[in-house]
Amino acid sequence: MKRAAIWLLAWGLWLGLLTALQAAFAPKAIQFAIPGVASAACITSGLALWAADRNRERDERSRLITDSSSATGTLMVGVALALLGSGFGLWLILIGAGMGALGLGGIVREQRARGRTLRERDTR
Amino acid sequence: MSTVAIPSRAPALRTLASTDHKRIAGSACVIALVFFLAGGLLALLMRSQLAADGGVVTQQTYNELFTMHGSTMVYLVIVPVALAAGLYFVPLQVGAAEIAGPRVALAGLWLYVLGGVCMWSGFFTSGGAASASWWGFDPLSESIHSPGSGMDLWIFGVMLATLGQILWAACILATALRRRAPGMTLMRMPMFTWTMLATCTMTVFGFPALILALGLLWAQRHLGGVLTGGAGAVDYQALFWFYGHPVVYVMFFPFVGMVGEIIATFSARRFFGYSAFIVALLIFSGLSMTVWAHHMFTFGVLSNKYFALTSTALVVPAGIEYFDFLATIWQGQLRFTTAFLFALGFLVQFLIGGLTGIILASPPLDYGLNMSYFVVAHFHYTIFAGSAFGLFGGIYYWFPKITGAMLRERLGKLNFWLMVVGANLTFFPMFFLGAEGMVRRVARYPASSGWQGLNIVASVGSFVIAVSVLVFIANIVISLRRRRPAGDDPWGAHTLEWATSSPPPRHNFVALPPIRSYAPLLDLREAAEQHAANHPSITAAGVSA
Repeated sequence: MKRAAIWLLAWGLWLGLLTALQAAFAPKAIQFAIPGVASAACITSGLALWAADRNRERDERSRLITDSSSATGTLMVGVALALLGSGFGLWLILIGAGMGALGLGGIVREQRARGRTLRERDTR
Repeated sequence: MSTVAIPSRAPALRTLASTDHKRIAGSACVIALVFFLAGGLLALLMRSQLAADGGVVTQQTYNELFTMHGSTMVYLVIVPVALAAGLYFVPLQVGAAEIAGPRVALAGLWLYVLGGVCMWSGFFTSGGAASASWWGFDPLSESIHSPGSGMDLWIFGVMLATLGQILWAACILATALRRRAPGMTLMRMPMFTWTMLATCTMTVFGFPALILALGLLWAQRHLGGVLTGGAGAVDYQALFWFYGHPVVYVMFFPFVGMVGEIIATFSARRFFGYSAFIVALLIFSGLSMTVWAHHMFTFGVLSNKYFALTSTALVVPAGIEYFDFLATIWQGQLRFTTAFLFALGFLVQFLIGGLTGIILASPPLDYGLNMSYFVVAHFHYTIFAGSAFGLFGGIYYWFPKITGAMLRERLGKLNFWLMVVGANLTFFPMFFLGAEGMVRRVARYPASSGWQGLNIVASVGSFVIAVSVLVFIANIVISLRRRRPAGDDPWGAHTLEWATSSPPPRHNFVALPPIRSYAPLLDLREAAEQHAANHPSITAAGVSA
């Protein structure tokens, strides 16, 4: 896994090189800005992944697989309603925010249940 | 690493709440099929209009039809299906027990569905659905030219669906980079996984530009002063096409990967030039992020020479990939299954789309052909006659793995030939119409133009495609009702997903075979054959025993 960052770094540098190549063609600022930001974001992600993987040991413990999450759907409906509310009125934003809060609470609950299961398994 | 599945407490919620990457991908594919049928229906209406030279719908309705047809096919069908294939198969191909960030992937599904519903609900508003083309052409999409909430719903719908796709791509990227099984190095990943890696990198780092562009467009519509004058239109288009051209490759690379897997399997050969393919993919995907302004050649404000150079340079990595495909087929023991036929159809028809793309990559030629039916033909040869053929190939190839049942080959071949005839009848005449000067997005054309004959041919072709799709749906229904069990590996395939049961269990694998190359199952078969050749007496004794 320690070489996983290579792809992101190579891709980001290649995009950066192609962006820089535009300098020979009298470009507009926006031509540089858009791919330049994408390239920088990719390289930064690659470096972050490289740093995270440097000291990472393979996790040999068993991993829990969550089977379902109804809270995720609730949260996303909330997000969508809040977004639509920006065009259709405050009332929809508030409904969306309420559903979003409900969904977030549900995800916290799911995470706590997951933590409990992991602790129980470790003590067994 | 062992895995433990937490059993679901509410089975009724499974489909909409499941965090199993296979269920999420399956739901996305079923929803995309519904949108595909809806978008196809809009296309048939448009073709009826053009065959009759007007009279079926008004110009305003026609504007809504082509806007929603393009938007549906790009944002709600091909891109989601391409990513859904990655959601399903990347974890399986790299030997992972699940996808990285299962809740994030589920969130992506919800956003995609809500985005689609949002876009289509525009038809129920008083002003009708969005009508400013699939790229929300500014200033046509501003509140003066596109009043009403249909355009707003389109903006929100596209934003939501795109955000969902970014989330999916992030999950797939993280899975390919961080969840690989022991032994599965980067240079042992299957072709499809590599193409998904390129696709998802482009999605994660290219698609946010669309969300930004649409945010600005919404602000311009409601607040004003954001995208003002000619500069505003250029900025919007620059941001849009930074998404809008890479998305063409997001709709292409996954199907290149599928076709690569299919060709290797049905040629009974190891994929030729694996390393060259990976290098070509890196070059290809990077280049495809720097060709976007060839959609803006006629603006004349960006560096046309640079974008013509990068657009033409795409032929180099594309040529390498085509060479690899042909070299894999060369002297292979070919099996002409439906999946293989669709893969061949992809190679031939995408070539037509690609070669006409070289014409459009030249600014002097593009000035003459821009906004004409030539562009429509080129685009549809890449996306429908190309990528959709790759997709159908992928469906015929992987359907047994997903459902445990074989699709009917005879119906599949009927599906294939009808689609070949339909696609070429529909899209090839458009090259001539474009060259003769027929512009796109017109609901009527002059009777004296002489274009009606070719338009009738194209419209007949579109109905042949519709029949072909009906055959495909019938094939699925029949194959699921009267199941012919597939077994774990009905094709003698090469990659890890075929090492598990069909359909795979929740945690994907009970045990993994040793991984020593990008084709671990082929390695096992070759080792067994080698062993049998070296020890014929033991093998014979084993058989007789």
